[in-house]
Amino acid sequence: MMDFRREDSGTVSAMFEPIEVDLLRQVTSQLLQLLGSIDADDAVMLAQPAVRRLLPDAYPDDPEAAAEFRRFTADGLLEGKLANAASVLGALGDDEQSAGRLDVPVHDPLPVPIVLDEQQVQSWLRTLTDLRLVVADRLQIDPEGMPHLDDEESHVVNDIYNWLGMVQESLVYAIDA
Amino acid sequence: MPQIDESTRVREAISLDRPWVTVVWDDPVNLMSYVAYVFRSYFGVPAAEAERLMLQVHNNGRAIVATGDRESMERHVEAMHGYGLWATLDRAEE
Repeated sequence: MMDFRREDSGTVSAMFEPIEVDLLRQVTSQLLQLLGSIDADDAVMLAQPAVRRLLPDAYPDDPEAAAEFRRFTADGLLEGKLANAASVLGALGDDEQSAGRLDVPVHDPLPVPIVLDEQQVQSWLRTLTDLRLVVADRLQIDPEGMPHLDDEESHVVNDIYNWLGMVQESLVYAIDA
Repeated sequence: MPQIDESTRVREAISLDRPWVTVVWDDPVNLMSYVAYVFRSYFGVPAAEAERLMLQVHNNGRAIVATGDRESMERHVEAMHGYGLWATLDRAEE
């Protein structure tokens, strides 16, 4: 991936390798599934660390107040997170076409331009965060940031985690400039 | 102090209750650049102040990013959760 740059029109854009587009589409689809499966009234589900990190306790020392806060906010937060993830998928284009370029064949090896308007940038920043929170849970990242997952997938998952961070940082710098 | 209107200040002044605070906690996931960006864009603080708060989160494990009435602090905490930051409410210390 080439770094995101701000354009004169106000949009930011970057070139993604087709394999990166596929990867981001895949993990974002999984995030959508996870978000869609969360029932904010389900205590067992809320006890899952990844879900807990997406919807943290607002009152860590007051379970009653925390539950009430969640009752009033969880649905709206989930709705926002779902809409953000859907927006990311939208900007990537669907499987049948390369993002934003209808004239490019499906498996064209050429980099794919990703162009984001202001609102899409906000959705991307938040979804990249949600993705990293979920992947960090999978990697068993400790408070010092060290991963403890040790299976045949850990290297791949760790690469994805770092790549998502790189995309996010590039986006932050682009809108900051 | 960000986003607290005059009526809130007056209510706080006549209230005997201690005010509430919005606390953002350090987590190993969120990037320092992103956290500073969130403080700047949401609370509207200058870049240097956003950087200072971000470093406070990073180095001290937490930072108070807003003070005020409970309702406003709940709104801030909800917004922080929307950004994926780990935020909680607490009573201000005396």
